[in-house]
Amino acid sequence: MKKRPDLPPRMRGRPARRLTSAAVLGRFELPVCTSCGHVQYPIGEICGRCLSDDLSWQPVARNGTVLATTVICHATEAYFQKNRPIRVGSIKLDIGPVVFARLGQDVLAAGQRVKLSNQLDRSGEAILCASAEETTKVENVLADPNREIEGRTVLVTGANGGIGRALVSAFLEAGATEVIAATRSGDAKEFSGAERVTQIALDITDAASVRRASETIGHRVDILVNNAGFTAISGFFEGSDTQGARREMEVNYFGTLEMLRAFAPHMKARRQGVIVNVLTVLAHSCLPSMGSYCASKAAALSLTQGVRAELIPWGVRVCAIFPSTVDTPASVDSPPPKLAPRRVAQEIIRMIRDGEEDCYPGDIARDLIAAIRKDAKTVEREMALALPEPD
Amino acid sequence: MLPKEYSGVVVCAPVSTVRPRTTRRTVSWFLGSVLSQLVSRSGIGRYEIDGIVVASYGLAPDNAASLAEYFGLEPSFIMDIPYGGASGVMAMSRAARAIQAGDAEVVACMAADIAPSGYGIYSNFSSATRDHIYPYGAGGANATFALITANYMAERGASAESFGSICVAQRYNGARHKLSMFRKSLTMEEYLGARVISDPLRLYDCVPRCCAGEGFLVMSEDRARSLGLAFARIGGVIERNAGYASDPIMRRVGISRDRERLYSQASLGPEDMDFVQAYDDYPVIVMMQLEALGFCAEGEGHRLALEKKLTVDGDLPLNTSGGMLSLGQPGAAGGFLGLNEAIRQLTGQVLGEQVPDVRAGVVSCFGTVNYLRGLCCNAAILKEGVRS
Repeated sequence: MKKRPDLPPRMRGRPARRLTSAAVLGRFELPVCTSCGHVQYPIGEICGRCLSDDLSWQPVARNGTVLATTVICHATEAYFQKNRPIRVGSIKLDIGPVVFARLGQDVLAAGQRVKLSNQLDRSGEAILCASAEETTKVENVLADPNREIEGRTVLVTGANGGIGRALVSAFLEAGATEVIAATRSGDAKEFSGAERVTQIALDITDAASVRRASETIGHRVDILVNNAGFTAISGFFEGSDTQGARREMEVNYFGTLEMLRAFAPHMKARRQGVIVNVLTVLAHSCLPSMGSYCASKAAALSLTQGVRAELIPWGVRVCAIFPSTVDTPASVDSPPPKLAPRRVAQEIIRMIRDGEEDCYPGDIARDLIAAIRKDAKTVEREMALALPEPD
Repeated sequence: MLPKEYSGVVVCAPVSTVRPRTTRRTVSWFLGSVLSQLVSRSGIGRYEIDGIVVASYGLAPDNAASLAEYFGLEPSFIMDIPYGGASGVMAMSRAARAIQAGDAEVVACMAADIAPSGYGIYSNFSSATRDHIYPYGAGGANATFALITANYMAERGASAESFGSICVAQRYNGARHKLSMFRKSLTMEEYLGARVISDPLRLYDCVPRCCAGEGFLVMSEDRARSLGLAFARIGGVIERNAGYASDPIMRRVGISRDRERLYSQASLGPEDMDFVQAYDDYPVIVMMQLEALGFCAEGEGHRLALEKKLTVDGDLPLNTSGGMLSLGQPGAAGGFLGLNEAIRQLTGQVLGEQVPDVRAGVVSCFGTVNYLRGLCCNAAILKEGVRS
């Protein structure tokens, strides 16, 4: 393998690293003193105004005024030397602190009103960025090529499923040059004759099939969506054997792993690429009525974290989406409310474009992950209560 | 209330090492070279040095204690002051107080750094620079001072020529100095035509890195006289760290509010200063120091720079050695250059051109650029003692 790409510095202190976990979800959060309300930046663990150590990370107002700007024309890090000139400035936030930020295209002069965002750089670390106050979309201030969809080739596995079909049309609408729809048959009728859609036959549980696909199309896949999944909708003690549970593991965990092992090397070689793993919020907390499915997705979540760490140094971003129940044929027996597949597909597109890493689409997934982060045990007990009373 | 006088304590034996652009030597080698020169220049026995103050960014994992062991000293007073450009006056004042308190008799103040190959120390200079500056593309203090300079220009109406006049004068002074990296002086056309480093900073606003050590001795006047050493007296010292934190962008140096205290200690005024040695990592900071020291009103430093003749033969001799712009910036040892030049001017031991009839001068230090501003500021008035 050739030399790794030059990437921006990854070193951060632990308190400041928390900024990255907000950037992963596209959030602008800073530590706020619980005692006196002082907003802390530079980030530390002690309130600079009242010396309290009771700080809480909160979403804060992101507007401010430019104090001064400069264009860095000479850099010491190879990454910045290659990507110069780099526009930076100091911004006085309305909520108090002065922040050093990368500047968006339309941020030109001192005195200008701006809106801050917290974006991931190519090392996957947080960088504060300033865009003109009237900007509505999340500007690609750091010029990350992994945030482009126009002109890209996208491979979607499980393309004939509910989310898969929505993904194919969403990527086409978003301007992808080509969407490769992978299904087990390779001739799904919904894609026949569709412009910019290529069909391939792919069984992700068959290593030979995955290898063939990678040899044929791997070199041109910029974005891989590991969407193919399987659920037996079964508790751990249901059925006469563990076949369903094994099948879930085969598809959701080993199938995804085969795909990553086959396709990531092409992306690494190009120092660019995006992989999206379609998981579920239940990867974080087991719903016992479909416990073995949750276990397989928990395995896929762990896989996602591991490959992300291995691929970031090569310029490849690994994203994950964690929906609650999605309205697909596979979830016909699940109770409402259900997310529309189209919504999930659009959120994946948005996550890529906004440079985020994780996405919890819809209120249910968002509330559930917040509850799990606050008190995982309470959620576990509530999940247990969802099981029918024993006879 | 004014601080206790520095009477009875003197500074002497200014020494400088070689100053290559790069080196395969360690920081300790440069510090050893400083100590060796301090001993040979002063004629003092090595074991008579019972205090050491060390300023260095690159000495870690070593420190003043490990250096003492390395160099065979058994000091009763040791101190590490990793405060870069502010370290000269800081080392002197702490050494002087230790001597007055009886904690030591002869203190060697030493500073050295080497230009790092590859990644700079800036990547891990402080938590704030590591977390909030370096990952944004700023490899050193250039971007921070570009913002400060841009704001000073907008707020005070400073022109590029006003910064250039400081640089041109310093390179004129440097061209006459033995240790200068440049024999050639600089023209305003060359200054203005130089490539942009970080807008509005051009090449000659930024100082060239080098590897070097600097040092001097602090001891009682009696001791200096018995050794037959030329010396200068300490007329007064002020220091202010992390000052004016509520200024959203740096527009003055911390000692601005302490000026009266400085001149009162020495019973002198700015008009009595025969020279100014001001830390010169960027011309905008030189202007702010001139303002703080009372050579003009706040915000008028750029006018002063155009009105006065700042060369060693001018009416406001500034950085008479040529400053770091000529001698290079050896990390924390850059903070010693102004003080050593002041001692040399006052004791008649110049390596460049002598300012005529010097009686007193002011040294101002500035350093430790943390989050978008420099934190450490101090200044001292040195008076004539015994010339060589």
